[in-house]
Amino acid sequence: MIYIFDDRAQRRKDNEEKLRKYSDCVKFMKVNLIPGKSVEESVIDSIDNPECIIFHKSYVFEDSAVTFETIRQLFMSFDVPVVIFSGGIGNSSKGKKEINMNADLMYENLPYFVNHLREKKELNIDTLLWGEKYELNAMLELQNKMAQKYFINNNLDDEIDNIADVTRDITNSSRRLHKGFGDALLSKIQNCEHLTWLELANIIDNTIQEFK
Amino acid sequence: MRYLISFDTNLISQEQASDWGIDKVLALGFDIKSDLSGLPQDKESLTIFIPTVFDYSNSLSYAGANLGLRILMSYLRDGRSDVEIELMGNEAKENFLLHYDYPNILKIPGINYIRFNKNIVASYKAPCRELMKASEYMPCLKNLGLKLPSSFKSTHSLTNEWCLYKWNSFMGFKEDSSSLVGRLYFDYLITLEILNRVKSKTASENLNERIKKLRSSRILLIDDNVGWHGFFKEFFKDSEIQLEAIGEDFKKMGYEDVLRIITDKVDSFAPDVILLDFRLLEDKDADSDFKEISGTKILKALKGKFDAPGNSYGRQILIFTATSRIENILRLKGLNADGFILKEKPEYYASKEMTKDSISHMVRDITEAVERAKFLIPLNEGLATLANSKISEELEAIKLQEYIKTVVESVRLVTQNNNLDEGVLKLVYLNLFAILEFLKPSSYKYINDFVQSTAPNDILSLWNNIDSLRNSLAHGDKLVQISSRKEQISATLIQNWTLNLCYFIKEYIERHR
Repeated sequence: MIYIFDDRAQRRKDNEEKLRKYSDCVKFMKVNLIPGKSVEESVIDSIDNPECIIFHKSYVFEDSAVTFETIRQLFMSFDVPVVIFSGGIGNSSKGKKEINMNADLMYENLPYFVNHLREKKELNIDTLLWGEKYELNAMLELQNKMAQKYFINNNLDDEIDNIADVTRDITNSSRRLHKGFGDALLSKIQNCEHLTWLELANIIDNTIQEFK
Repeated sequence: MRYLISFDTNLISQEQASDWGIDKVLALGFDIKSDLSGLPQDKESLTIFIPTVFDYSNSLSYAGANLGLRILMSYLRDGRSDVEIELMGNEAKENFLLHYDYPNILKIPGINYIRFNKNIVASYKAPCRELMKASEYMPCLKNLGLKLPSSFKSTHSLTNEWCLYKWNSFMGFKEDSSSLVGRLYFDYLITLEILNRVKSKTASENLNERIKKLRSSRILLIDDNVGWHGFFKEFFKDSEIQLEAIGEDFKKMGYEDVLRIITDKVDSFAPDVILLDFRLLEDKDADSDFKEISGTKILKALKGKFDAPGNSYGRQILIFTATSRIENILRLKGLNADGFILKEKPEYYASKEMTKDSISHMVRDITEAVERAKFLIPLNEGLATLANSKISEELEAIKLQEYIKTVVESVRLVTQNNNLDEGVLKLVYLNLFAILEFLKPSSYKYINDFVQSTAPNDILSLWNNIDSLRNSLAHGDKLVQISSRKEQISATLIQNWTLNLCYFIKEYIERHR
């Protein structure tokens, strides 16, 4: 279950309506303190087996003793992705567990994120961050990582002498991507007898254009 | 001088600078901060190499390309156009142009794209170009097609800060852009604003002249953003407006406390005009229903309705808002808002003309509001006194009370919803005069004696010609004379007569208590 903690009444109402058909995997929540229980207990009791927690950065708590940091730490202890959203966040950032992103963008991409989860049985935060462009972003990520490792310091006109390392890296990095992309890339590389770094860069460029 | 911005000094450090043909490596976040402090200021021409992408897991954000644009604009704002920005990307130029949101970036003189590669950077020489003036970059910047990202559409505070910046800039006041910089779109707007600044001087001088001529009065600003407090203090500083501002600490309070502070202030300061921010409690108001927004509730409490007026019914309340919904404006009008000061929105930035028009409309509306308040505040006090008068049995108390109530409510309605032109003012006057007429049958002699002996000339002349007045009204004569004078009478004169009439009736009623 994906839990969304949003205190903005109208926004919550609008999005609850829009996301009604996903109610089996998305649940809107409030931080409600249960009398006699600590903040931690109250929150933990309200969440059952979360897959992802989405939390409004400027949440206004009814009890002023509760702070954003307390709740953030608590959510981080669940060992699931924690998405912190706010209208004021301009650029998204993705850490190992914590993701920060804009509120409107989060709600815009949420249906895509949930559909991906339903269809592929896989929680992919990139689909929340990038919506339908998430595969392009992932291909560019691969390209940039390859470039950092091999292209930046090499003479681009030199022939590649460690092609086996390159293909191994591509195989490893493209696992998360569309299967055809990695296969197409490797097939093009293997069809070349000799390959310069610049030619490899061009092959990656062209393959991204085919699959984006 | 050649600089390279490094997002990862393990990848490129100062020790490797010479291999890259670079004079200095600038570490992102250390040498150059997000507000662009630390940018080189060498007098000789500069070349800055920047990777298009900093965070590979967010490749599509092209944070480096955006930073390149921001850096170029920062130099343009300082009047420098001799800076070369060399974007270093890991993809072919054509693909970069396909993936980046603003492909026209490479049409800007001084911005180029090369492969992110040590040898290419080391041997790179920027193409020769003829230097343009900073102001000549405006068409290229506009051609980028930058738009307010949809992700900022609901961010009320940014709209507010932008309008504050723009109005301060236009009026030549001290501006603060710290809350806006760091966001590409706002860097762009601020750059256009600065490159365009010279043209606005005459227009702001004309506005200053109009502000100086505002009639002496008291204005209360209710806004949680202290930036606006500073703006309006500066705005009215050469005028005879006495300005007080409250709201700085409202963010931490609940609605009930806020309302109490406002009503206390209105009672003690007795403003003629109130400028009321529509969303005073940013967090709580952000997504509230119209009825629950702080501005709506405060307006209702202060103004009330024609049959149950609040203590500020006659005061002029102008709603200060960035709302773009016609529905909201109509509903606020229905709750007796007297006018609106509409904040400029960042997505509609066109030119200085828009700012000039916005501020000019504000000066016009405040001028009108002050004029209305000078009449409507005493009128409503008079009406309240009439409505609450204890009437002697001798004057057929119940009937008269009912009649006065009807007249008072009608006058409140008419004055609230109409411009106070001659026709409306005559209507108000005649409405009130009808109370005197109402008294005639019951105690004709009594009132006639009172009018003849004590009424000012304006009341007396109408009283003595009441039959002809009735005839002209009955026959729809649009030029109903409420004065014996043949020449046109001024609105101010009718207003004075109306106030006199109000107090004259009250005096008559009190004498017969």
